[in-house]
Amino acid sequence: MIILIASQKGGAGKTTIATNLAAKIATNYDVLLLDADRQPSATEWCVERKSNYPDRPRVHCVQRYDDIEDTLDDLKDRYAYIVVDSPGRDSIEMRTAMLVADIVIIPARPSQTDLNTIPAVSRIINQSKKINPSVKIFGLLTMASTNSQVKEAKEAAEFFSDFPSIPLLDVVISDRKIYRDNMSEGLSVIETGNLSGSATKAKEEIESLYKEIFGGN
Amino acid sequence: MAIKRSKDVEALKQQFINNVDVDTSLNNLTKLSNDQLVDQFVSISQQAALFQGRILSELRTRFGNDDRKFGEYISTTILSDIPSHTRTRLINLAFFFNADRPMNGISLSVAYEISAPKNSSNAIDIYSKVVGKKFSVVDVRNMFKKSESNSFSGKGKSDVDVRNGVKKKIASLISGFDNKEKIGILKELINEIKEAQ
Repeated sequence: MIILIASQKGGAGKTTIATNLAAKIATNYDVLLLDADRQPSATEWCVERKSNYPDRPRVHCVQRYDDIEDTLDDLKDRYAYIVVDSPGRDSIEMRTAMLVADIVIIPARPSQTDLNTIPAVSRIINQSKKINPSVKIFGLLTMASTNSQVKEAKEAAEFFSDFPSIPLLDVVISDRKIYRDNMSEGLSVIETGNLSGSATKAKEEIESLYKEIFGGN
Repeated sequence: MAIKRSKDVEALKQQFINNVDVDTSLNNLTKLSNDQLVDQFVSISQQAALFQGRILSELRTRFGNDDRKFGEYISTTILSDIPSHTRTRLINLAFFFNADRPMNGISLSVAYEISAPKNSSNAIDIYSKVVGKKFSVVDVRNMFKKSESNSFSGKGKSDVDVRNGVKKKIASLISGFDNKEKIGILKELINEIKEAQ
């Protein structure tokens, strides 16, 4: 199964989602993280993970650029799951992965600049569905404020309702330091030894994301 | 519904791939406006600098604490064409900017200023203020000056951290002089303070 994490804007948390999801999948399945972004943060995460935590569930990692359709077509038979971290823009990598992906997750921060990209992403998805009609698309709000007084996430969810081609996942990924700390360590938040309230909530977010996408499998 | 034949699907695929937004693609520069070309240039320069910094950083770590051996090695390679201060700036850049701190909207000159070790105490704060916005390097330097003066004012005179910060700042300002001149400057400063009292 190929899961593409795609957005038209950098800084939406694509790599955070890709690495945390890959680590969660790795607890039960053979997973490959394909880094298609030339700013190779997912690869750096893999390198840190391999070096700092060699005993953790293995997330295999490769870097591929340009047309990655054939690569994905080839690799999908060798891994149960492939998570693709694409560049933060409309790119050959993003489009060619869309042609063979089973699931596309579109992360977006609840900010005007991120939401402004959604109409264009929606158009691209509609085009890709002509070629890959079985692909499942999900929008995902990321880096939402943990302050309950800030209603941006609710407003962003309303914004998404205008784009039925991108149904929004119920789970919202919040802006938490624990995500950043674990990224630089090569860990997922589900693996952290941090017992703080924020770490627990981050774990719940990733577990919920996994369950919502894969139906608790 | 008309059934698509394989050659139709291929044509559709190619059309879909070729429709990559020209604003963000390097596939067809002739279709870009002047402003878009400038944006592309900036973006590529940033990526190149980050990669160069990461490569140099990796190379540097292979020589441990031995600056001399690293310098000797560099002098035997094409990297000796790059001035040492430029190499240092690239390494600092790669050290500061990463997945959590992307260079979105930050010009290279501003990025060098933010990632400079002399600004490390306020770098993250200033970064959060300038990311995604087009600040000039002069604006950013002024922001650093302002935050430094803020951090020194209003603190107790016995605050060891503040005193060390001031000493560090003075030391960096006179670092270009030899020891004799440094002492001379400091003595002059002490005399001026005494006279002012």
